[in-house]
Amino acid sequence: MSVDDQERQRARLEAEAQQSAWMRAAQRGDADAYRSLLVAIEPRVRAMVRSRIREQAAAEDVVQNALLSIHRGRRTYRPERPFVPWMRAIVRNSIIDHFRERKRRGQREVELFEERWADDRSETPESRTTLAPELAEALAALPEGQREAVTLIQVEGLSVAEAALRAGVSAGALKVRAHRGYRALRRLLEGARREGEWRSSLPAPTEHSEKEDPR
Amino acid sequence: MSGPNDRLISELVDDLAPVRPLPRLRSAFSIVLAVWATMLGVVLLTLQHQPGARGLLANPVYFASFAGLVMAALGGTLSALAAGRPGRTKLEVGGLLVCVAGLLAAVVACLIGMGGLDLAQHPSPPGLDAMCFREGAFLSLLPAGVVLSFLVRGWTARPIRAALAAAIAAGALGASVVHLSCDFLGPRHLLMGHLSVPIVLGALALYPLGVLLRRLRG
Repeated sequence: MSVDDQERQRARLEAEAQQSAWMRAAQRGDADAYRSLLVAIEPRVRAMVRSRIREQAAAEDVVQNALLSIHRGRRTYRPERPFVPWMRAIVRNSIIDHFRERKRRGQREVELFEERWADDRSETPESRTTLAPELAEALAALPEGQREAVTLIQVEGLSVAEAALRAGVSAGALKVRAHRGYRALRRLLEGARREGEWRSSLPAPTEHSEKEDPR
Repeated sequence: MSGPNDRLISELVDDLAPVRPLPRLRSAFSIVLAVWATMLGVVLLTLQHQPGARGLLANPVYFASFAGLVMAALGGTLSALAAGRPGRTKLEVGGLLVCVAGLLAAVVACLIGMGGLDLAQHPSPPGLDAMCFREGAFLSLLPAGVVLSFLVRGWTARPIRAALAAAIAAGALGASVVHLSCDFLGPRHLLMGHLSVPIVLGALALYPLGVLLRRLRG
């Protein structure tokens, strides 16, 4: 092992020891130590996640879920054990959860809705103004929990973890609400579109037709 | 800070409260064993005689089913306790394998003792199967409470698997106490009255407990 390698190894061990010390302090309620810990591990968590998940938005969601899991599971860290393997286990589980959930739900309906939403945003201001009231009306018709979840994620652009914190529910519960919200929105929007098509297929009222006796 | 997760980190820091770390795995395991040993001691000491305990060496089916129940109890407990701790996956999976293998071995021993699945060939005294099942289920409550108290404070990566291990372990702990204190040693009764406790508890508790653990984890 070269001198450089030894130096790197020593620095890594020191950093890991520091992180273990920060975690112990965080368990006692030391906010400064906790902030230092989260800031220090975030790039490492992201690197782990990005090595498995290429899609940037999904990876960022998993990073945030992993940070949230570290926060919620901090009681399970044993002070006499090293911090990094514990953290790695949580991040690995978050990645596995991501793939399992993706497989389970198929993501089809969510993606369809998100694509449509993205299309709406990229359209011209004129077409956006024609669709916005329709979306706003459909959004307003949703139950409160679903509306909040969809608004936080799609309108305010928060990640699932941030939105869950804001709504005061777990990330899983928020995803379920958002998923149901997307489905309900899709139904409402399709219903509105069908109604619009039906109305436009009716003959336009003219003076002649108004005067005409149907019999 | 200027990263993409600054806001989340700030919110997590704001949400920070002191926590007491979970006890070591071996300490938690010892607590469950102590509860089990106490229950066993109390039940055996309050009985006038211990026919089950005497039958351990005399009856191979009885001995094999008891050994299987103990394997299921210890393996399941270890698996459930490890399930609440990130990074202990090998112990969790290994414990669950021991648990399921023990339960299967016990069932197979009873089936061999009966010479097949014909339950009518081996009648039990009326109501005895149900009585032992009720006692076993009742005696499972305390160990279940202890195991769950550790599990719900942990962070379970696989809630359904953890629920299965916890339910079988609690059922096997309760059933093993009944096993040693029961008067009737027929293989059919051992299967229907004793071994059915962890099997039924495992099946019944799997989903609701899994959902509960998943919700607690967030």
